[in-house]
Amino acid sequence: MRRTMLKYVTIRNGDAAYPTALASIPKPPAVLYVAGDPAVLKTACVAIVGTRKASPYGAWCAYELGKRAASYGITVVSGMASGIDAEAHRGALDGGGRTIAVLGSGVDVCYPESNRKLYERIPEKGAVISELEPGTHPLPMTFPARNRIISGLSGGVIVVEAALKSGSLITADHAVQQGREVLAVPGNLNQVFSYGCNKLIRDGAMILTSFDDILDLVGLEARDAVKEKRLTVKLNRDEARIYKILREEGELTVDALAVKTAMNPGDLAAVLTYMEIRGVVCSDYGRVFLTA
Amino acid sequence: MYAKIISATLKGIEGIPVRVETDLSAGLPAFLLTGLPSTSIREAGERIHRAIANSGYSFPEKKITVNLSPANQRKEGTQFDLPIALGILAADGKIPAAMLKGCAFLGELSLDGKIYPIRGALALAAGLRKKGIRRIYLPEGNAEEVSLLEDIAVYPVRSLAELAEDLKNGVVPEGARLETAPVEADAALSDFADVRGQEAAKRAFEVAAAGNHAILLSGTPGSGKTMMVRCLPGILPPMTPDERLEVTMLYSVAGELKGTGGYVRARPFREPHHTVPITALIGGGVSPRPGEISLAHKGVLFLDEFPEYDRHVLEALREPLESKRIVLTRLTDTVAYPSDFLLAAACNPCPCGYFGDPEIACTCSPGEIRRYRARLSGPIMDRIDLRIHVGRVKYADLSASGDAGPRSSEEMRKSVLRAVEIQNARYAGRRTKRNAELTAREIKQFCRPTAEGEALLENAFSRLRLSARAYGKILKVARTVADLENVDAIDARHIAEAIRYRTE
Repeated sequence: MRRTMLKYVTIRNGDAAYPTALASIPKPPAVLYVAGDPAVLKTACVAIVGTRKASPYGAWCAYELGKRAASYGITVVSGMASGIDAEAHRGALDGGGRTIAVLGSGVDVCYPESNRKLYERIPEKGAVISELEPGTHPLPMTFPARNRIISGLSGGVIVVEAALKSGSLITADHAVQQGREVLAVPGNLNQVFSYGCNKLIRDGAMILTSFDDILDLVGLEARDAVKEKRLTVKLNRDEARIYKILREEGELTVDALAVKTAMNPGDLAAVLTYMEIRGVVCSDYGRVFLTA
Repeated sequence: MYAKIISATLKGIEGIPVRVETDLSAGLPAFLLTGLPSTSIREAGERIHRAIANSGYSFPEKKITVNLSPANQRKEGTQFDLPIALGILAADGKIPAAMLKGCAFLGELSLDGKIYPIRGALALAAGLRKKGIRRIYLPEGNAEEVSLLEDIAVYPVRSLAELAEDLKNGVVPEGARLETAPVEADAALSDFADVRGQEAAKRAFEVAAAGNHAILLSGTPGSGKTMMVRCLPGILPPMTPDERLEVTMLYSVAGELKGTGGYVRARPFREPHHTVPITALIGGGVSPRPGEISLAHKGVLFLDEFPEYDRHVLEALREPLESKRIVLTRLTDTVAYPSDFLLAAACNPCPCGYFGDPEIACTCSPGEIRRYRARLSGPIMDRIDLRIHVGRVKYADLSASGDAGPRSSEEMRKSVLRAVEIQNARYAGRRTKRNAELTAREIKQFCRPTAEGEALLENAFSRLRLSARAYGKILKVARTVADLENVDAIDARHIAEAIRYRTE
């Protein structure tokens, strides 16, 4: 594992720069190593966490949530893991917003290596932080502890996709103990990575019904009742049929869609490309779902 | 005390005529062999000695010199047993040399004088025919395959004793022309009619077959990847007589014609396991033989568990995919085997196979998944034009597959055939035969999209973040989609469909 010559500052519990939200949790970190702008720690924050093995839908959801948070000026906190975490960071940065990555290693150790680009990008618009001594390598036990910082910094935690036994549920636990809100993205009952989120909802977590629910977590604005989404793109007849089917059935495989539309597969493929380019659907690994 | 007999040796799938010269001279009894013989030929001395003795002739107690000419060409194979034995008998005056003129002899001897079949008889005979030799004595077991060459008189022989007797008595046997029966394809291949609820995937196969585009399938175990690939040879156009001859020749050279020989009728389907060593895949060995890629010539090469193949093995596929043949260089020789195959590869979404599956949890770590996918990159992926994802089909989809019902291989083959004919007409006189082979320059010439198509492509590049490499592939595949519709102009619709099959 490579150490990076990264500039960081050290903030102790009690310093003026130390985030007040974090100071209020049980066992706050005594010291934070911060690469980037320490001021970002004191902004309104929302944590977005989830599985490292995100489904195409989960990845899309995390990215869009990150982007939406950015559009409201909310800082996105996550753990810079692969999957949901990385997508949330990316969404925030692409939306021109701020983001904080809380590492389970020393602040100068990039883990996982595959997220190095992200690791280098985040301090420009936010911060990479850790409570661990610089140079510390990531170990299985360092991650659950850093999860308390993720929730501690934030007004609330959004869990996008999580298995029943997962770090994301640990983060949600911390959030509850720290008196933070937990929001879960509901999932398809059939899907393994829905189980964790659906369990959270059963156990009393709030349910995410629209991306604007983020506002709830930072107390920015009261929300209206759940509204049906309105499509802003004009669709032709075939596209409208596909749209309707996907609205009713949720995610489908391309093959199943071919059966349901009784369209010839070549035409269907072409129509899906049109819809994907205009951001109406997303398809990955042969599965199609609506994104508008 | 000298005799000369015509035989032949293999160089690749080419038969090269060889003069077998035999000289008997006074001196200590010895058997000398010159002219770059391989080990199997060196051992011929002992076999011939016993075969002659056991056929009722005495082996001359003289110094025997046998030269295989041209002396600088390396000789290979057991077919020299028979000509050498006859040469000794002729030089010894036991059979009349005149009877041997204008004929060629091929065959392996057993110790009791029986004549056994040899490897590559068809290719050897074809090489002899090129040099004007029209009468060939060869083992009975090889008569059927050689009968494919129509203007050759085939004389099947069973034993040295019988043959020597006929030659002595001046009997010219009747040239046999055997009905050549087809060799049944090694696997009873499936029909697409039996593949239900996977119409989108079947369409991709249709495009692959029409344009000869290499295709990669990914999907969880049990999604029917293997079954669909097994249907692929069935939607390719039937082989032309020339193709059949060439493929049969390759199988003959590889010793893969089972039983009595015969010819290869169906397009080959080869499925080497991912542990396949490189020489078995591309061909080779001390005395080179065609590998799997050549046995898949004019057919389908299926690589299941694609990322599990050794990197070097996959890299070795690049040259044959480009040039449609493989050149093997050995210490003493260079041989080339044709290897014009359609590549079909399959992979799982992750090492355990269930990543993204709605019902079964994937047990791989994100790192494992990343490493697995990273193997699906590099130069070999540049040669793969189409990629599709297949999912497991639910029972409901199996029973209700739309109004039209599943498309059968026969239907699909018809539209493939039409698209192939269009390509043949378009590329007449060019090196390029099919859309997949188009060069960058030819893409500019033949795959010019309409203004709308161009606009769509541009839009897709920015919105879907396509790589520059994808550009040419999308245009080539769009060309095939348009050909399947028998349309000359590449429209936005064709581009849109092609984009869905993109590999990255």
